[in-house]
Amino acid sequence: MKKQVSEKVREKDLLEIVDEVAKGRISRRQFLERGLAMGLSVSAVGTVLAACGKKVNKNTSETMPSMDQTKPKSINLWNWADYMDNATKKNFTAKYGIQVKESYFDDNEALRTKLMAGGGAGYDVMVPSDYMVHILIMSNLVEPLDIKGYNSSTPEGFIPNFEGVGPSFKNPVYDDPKEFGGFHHSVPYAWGTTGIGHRTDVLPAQITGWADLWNPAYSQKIDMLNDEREDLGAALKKNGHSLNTKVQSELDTAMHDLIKQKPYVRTYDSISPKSAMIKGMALTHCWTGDVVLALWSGAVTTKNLEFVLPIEGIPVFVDNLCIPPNPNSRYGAHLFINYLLDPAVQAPLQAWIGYFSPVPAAVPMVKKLDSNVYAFAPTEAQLALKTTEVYNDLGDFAQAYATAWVTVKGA
Amino acid sequence: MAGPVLVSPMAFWMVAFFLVPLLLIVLYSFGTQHTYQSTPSLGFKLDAYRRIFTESEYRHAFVLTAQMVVANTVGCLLIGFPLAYFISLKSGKRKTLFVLLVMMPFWTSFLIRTFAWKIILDDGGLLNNWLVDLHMRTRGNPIHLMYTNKAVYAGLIYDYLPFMVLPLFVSIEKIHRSLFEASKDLGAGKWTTFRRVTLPLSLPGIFAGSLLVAIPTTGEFVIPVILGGGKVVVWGWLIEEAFHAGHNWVLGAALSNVLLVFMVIVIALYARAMTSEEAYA
Repeated sequence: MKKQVSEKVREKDLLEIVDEVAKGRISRRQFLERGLAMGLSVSAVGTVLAACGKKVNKNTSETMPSMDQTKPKSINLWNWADYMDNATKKNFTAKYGIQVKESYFDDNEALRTKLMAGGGAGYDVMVPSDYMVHILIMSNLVEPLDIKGYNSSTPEGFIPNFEGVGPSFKNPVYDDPKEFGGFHHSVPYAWGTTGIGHRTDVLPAQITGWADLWNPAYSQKIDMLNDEREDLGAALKKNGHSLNTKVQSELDTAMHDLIKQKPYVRTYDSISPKSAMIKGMALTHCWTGDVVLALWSGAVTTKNLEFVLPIEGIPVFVDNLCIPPNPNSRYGAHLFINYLLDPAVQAPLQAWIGYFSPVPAAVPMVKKLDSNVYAFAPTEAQLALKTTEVYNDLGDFAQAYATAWVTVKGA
Repeated sequence: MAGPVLVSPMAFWMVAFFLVPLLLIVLYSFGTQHTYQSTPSLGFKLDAYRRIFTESEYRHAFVLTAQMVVANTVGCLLIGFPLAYFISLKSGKRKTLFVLLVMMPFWTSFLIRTFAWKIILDDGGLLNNWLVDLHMRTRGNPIHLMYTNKAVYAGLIYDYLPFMVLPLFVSIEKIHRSLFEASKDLGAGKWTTFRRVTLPLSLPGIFAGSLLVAIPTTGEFVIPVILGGGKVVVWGWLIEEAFHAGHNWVLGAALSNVLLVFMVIVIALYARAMTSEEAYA
């Protein structure tokens, strides 16, 4: 009897892996693994061939394109896999008579490479993350949005629902209108935080922050994300530094700390933090979405799994709606972006994808629809802390991070 | 007259999709990377190569990759040879069945097959459960295999074995049975027959199989990441990282070129050694 049960469990395991790999129902912020999982890994030669040495530099004299208000038949959405439910798209079609065709990208870097190669043509709306929005603006790979108060082409603009976006998400560091001549290039779509998944039944101890991931007593009970920015970010935060630091000595300290931590780490993995938590890994460095997925699986509950928002500082990521250069329909894109910011649309959407809504009015509705999504959300006070930070573009200093990461992995 | 015309599509293909990209990779490796551009601007800078040849990370990665390639090739050969030999002894439908079984794993995604090893090797996985059932191990005291080198090699040999078995099978099967009988008639024992007849005649298969395993292994980075826990750096990962998350095509191109040149030299030497062996046989 017992044997049968364990067979069942194993079968479920396998199905889950197949599911994770095939459908990509895994947390969406991954660099290496995501691409592999989707079977679309970047082959060097292919990418090189695709890119046709286009020179791009930040255009200093940006202008707001005019708005041709004819409704398109359809618009093309370029999204992360499993990052929008069908109902949301269908309801948009019912309301505006515009079909939404969705295609997917693996990760921010893949999006950037394709855009730089001129492969973004034909898409109307794309969903890059925070730091990538800044890179895309700097590279002239995103069009300004027509929003009231941001050089809009009409007094009203075309995204009235932007009013309802939470104040902390309105002018983020990665898309600050002050930096870009008053233009706004992105609106937030969904957000989340990084933290530590803690199985309280496996490790009945008080876990409060990043420093716990350096405690030798928890050796081999720690899984880290396999992610340059996240791992260096965790070490930087532990030391009280900014996760966007451009100070070489701070980065060096973080790098040495990660090397010191290496023997305590069981694995660096961004694909299956959810499974790790379900199987009883004591401390799992992961994203909010992973914890929500673990809770949704029913194998763990908030009684034995908590998501620790580290006291030293909480990393925040925001995914954004942007319009790539030369969309099929700027008007259709604006209609869709505005629609997605409607609280009544946001609520079921976030309850389905499992991330947080940047629209405050939608939050109580999400909570009503699903009790797990906001189980471990940061409070307003936590969000307002100076140590709570969004990942931003590092400019040329990104190379220093890449070098540090390779050194950590090779140590 | 028809010759050049017939060959032109193939020639175009080779130039457009092999030579040009290869040339680009060479050019990029001497260029300069800009943060907000994907393709490097061209020039003649040796910085990337200097970095590869002076920094210890790259030396470590190179040694580790070489070890991985040799171990995987030898491992596949040691397991693959008896298997290929065994299959070649079967006749008719049986033979087809076994060849089919060797190829069957290809029907499933490489990634899913690699992930499946997690289920076998995990602390609470199949293998540890069996050991408990056989009373060779107690529950709560499992052998830790996941995220170790052992797991990496299990995954590597498993994934690459068919590439070794199939060419070996082809070449062993071609050996005429009468040769074994002749060897026996002339008083050779089983071992001598193997050493003097079977092995030399299967050299082409060993050669082809070894290359088919070794060459892709040089660029392998998925298995070390998934089964090894991403704790070691192999060459393929360095290339992937440079082109992708690192946004440094210059470095990525230089890494690719170093590997390419090294591989060409090794393969040339290997081919030479193997042909002189065959000539001797």
